Amino acid sequence: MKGTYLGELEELVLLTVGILYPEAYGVGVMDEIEKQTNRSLNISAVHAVLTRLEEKGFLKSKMSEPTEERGGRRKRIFLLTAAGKRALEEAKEMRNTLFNQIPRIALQFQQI
Amino acid sequence: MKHTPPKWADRFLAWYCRADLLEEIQGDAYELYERTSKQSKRKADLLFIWNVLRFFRLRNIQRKTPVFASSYLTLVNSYLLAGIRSANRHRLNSTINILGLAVAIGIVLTSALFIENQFNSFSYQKNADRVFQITSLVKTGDEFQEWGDTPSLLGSTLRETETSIVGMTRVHSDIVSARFKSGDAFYEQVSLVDPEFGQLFTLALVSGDLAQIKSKNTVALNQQQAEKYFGDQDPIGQILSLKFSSGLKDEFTVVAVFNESINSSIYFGLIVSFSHLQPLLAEASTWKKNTTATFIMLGDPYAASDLDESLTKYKDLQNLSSPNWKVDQFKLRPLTELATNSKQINNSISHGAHPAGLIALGIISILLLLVSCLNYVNVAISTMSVRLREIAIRKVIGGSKKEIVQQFLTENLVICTLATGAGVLLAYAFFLPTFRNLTPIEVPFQFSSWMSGISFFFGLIFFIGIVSGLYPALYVAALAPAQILKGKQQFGRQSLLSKVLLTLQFILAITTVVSSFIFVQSALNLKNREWGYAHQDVITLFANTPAQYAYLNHKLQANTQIKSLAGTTDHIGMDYYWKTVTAQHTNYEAMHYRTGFNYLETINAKLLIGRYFDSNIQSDIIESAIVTQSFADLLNWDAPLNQSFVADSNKYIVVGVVQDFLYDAYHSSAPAFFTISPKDSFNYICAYVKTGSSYNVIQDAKNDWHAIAPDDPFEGFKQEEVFRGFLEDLSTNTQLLTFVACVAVLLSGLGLYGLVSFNITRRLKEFSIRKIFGASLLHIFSLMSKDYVRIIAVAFLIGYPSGYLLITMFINEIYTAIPFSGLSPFFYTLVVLISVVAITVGIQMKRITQENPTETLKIE
Repeated sequence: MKGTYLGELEELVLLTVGILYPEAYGVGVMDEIEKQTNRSLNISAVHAVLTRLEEKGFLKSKMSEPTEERGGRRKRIFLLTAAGKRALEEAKEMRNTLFNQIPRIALQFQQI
Repeated sequence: MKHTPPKWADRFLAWYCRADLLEEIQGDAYELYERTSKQSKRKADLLFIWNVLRFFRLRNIQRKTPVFASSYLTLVNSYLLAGIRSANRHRLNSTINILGLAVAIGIVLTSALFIENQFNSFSYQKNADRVFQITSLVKTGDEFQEWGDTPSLLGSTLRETETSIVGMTRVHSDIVSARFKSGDAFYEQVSLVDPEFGQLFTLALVSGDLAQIKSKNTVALNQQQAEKYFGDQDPIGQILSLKFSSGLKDEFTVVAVFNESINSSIYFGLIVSFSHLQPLLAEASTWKKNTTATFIMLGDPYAASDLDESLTKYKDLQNLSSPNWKVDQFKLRPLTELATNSKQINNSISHGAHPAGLIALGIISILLLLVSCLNYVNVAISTMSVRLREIAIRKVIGGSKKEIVQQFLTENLVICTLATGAGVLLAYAFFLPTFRNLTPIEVPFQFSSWMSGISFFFGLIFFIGIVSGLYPALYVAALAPAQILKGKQQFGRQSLLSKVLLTLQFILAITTVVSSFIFVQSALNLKNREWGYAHQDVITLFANTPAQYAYLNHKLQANTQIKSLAGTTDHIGMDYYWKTVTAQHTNYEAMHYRTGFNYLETINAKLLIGRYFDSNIQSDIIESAIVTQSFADLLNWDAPLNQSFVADSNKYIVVGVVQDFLYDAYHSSAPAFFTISPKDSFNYICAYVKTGSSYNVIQDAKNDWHAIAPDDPFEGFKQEEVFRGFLEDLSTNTQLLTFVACVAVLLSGLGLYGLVSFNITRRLKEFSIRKIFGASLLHIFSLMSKDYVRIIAVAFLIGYPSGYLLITMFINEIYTAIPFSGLSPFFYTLVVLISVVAITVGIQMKRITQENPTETLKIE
């Protein structure tokens, strides 16, 4: 089913949310991705992906306590769900399986 | 330093963003902004805007819920309720607001009706958009003048040759003396028109058939005239005897009665066929003879420009036949624009109000409206200072600025609507009738169309609502709630704004009051001017023919009430003939009066040197002249007697000098000279009668007149009445100005009253304590009025000179050589002002005297 398919950017965002636990929110995720992968995203794109992931059930969210920053506005904190964790594991497993099926010889470049 | 992102972008985000997503999205945008702004504000601003635009996605955009409309209605409903309640609570202030606005609205409505009807005075005409008047552009001296007169052949020739013209009528104006059976004769304005008249002009028919005036010896009458001649009888079929200015007399059958259209600028009294012009004037069939007005109707209103070429052709014909009055160009004037253009056309048959008058009227009424709006702003701000807590709490529990502005604008709308209702009533019951009494122009209580009426009222309410309501609403909405609730907001107390507004109002009021006082003063001075001759006991009678003169003269000689009698061709106050006078090779302009012997003695012109004309001296008939003092001054004669000058290629020798006299009401004296004219050219008989007998003498003469000239109306009047039209104008202007001044005083008085009453309410406790400690009423009064005295002093210092300058400019524009009005207007204005302030503050003081201090201090 279409809903459960995990896109490449979605996977990246999902992983970052996991890394940033328990402080993952829009700008934080954007910064972390830039730091880790050198990929610069627009904040609106991050928001769009986060919302989509929440709709698919891979993430859940709650509002944080207000702080002095951001003019007193609260952040939306995202957390991985069990489904999210499973999706990440499946993606990782699928990658490993696929990687292991590559013939060894194909990875020995000096012979070509 | 902490920066803030661009406001508009932030507002745009808040506007489109879904309410549940707004906080996090706005938060993230702000966080990024704060971070970037540490490097560069410009970069941060751009980034913020970019982010706001990028967030504009379908998912984030707010969707309108169907509940919205009904919840909005509930909101407006409760705003209205709150508005009515608050108006009710502050009843005095609301009444002042409504009353002030209503007066202004009434005036604006009245003048709008007047102006609108002027601009649409031909809207009732069926074919108005296709009808044009042809006018002639004639060069006189160095400038071109536009005349309504056109060759009478032009109309008929155009009608025959031009296919684009589907209708034509000439309107030739003449004066007839009309008489029914053996009744009195009256002068009437008659229009001679072509058969197609009825297609071009739509007249409201009362009875009969307008088409019948095509045939000879038939006449159509205005209803007013019909009543004058026939009373209750049916006018149709009656015979009216008409005597034209050429002397031709004939009997006419009445075939139609029409009602004068109230908003037409062309007046029709009697209408007869154009064919009657032919026997009257031998030249009628040449291009030389002009007729008063020519109207054409085109099949297509846009074909007007195609006519230009053929009009040029006829211009040449006209120029050939009358070299002294060469038409440079024939122009087409649309009928719909005639009322507003009539002042530009010489001898126009359309008589509209003067455009300057219309503009002045518009400006005055808008000024008054502004004054009352200022009043509203002032009183509204004072009222709001009592409601500060309400506003603060609304803001604290989440009311947005927009909502508070909306609330106050809605309240304002309630007041405006009430005021408009009251204003319409005032206009209908009071202003419009007053206006009708003051001017001869009839103004109906209706707009020319539904559309203009509706747009007027919408525009009015919108204007008042925005001008008067927006500022207080925005002001109040911008206040910080914490300040208000802590009691730190010093609002409405000594507000600079309300002082400035009150000062402005009083400046306007003082300007108008000063103007009207100075005008009244000048009017009185004008009325009581020296005439330069004893006009009180002089009467004047018209004589049209030498026979009439001889008969009247004979009859009057026998009248014992008459002390002195003289005939004259020109008469002071009635005739103005400027002549070029040459003396010592220099040309001068002077007024020429051709008189009979004894004329100057009869009107009691005061002889300064020399002698009057003497019928025993033969040369007096040919070459003697009597000049006025200013004539002698003009020609620089130290010894005027026996000096000579040339006028009309006649040489005259001065035999006497008389005192200067008023030759017309608008000007004082002018250089003038008198000469003797033959008896058969006399138009008037002047008589110097015993004091108090002028009426009897005129009545006797009237009876004698009927015996000799029953077909001509009798005209005799006291010399005092010669400037009556001018004096009526003067009194109309005086009344209008006084009226405007009264309204301005009333409005500013109301404004002051509202403010004082509010101030007293606010300081009631203070005054109570003062009273307990033994402050006298006078002391409290002076405390109360201290603020206002300063305001009024400033307003007086600005308003008095500006009013003085304005009205002096106005007066000098119309009347020359006006006497100085003296200091009395200054004192009158001061008295009016002081009494307005004293009365306003005084009434409110009553409250303090009656209030028991224990009662006021008990609360809280």
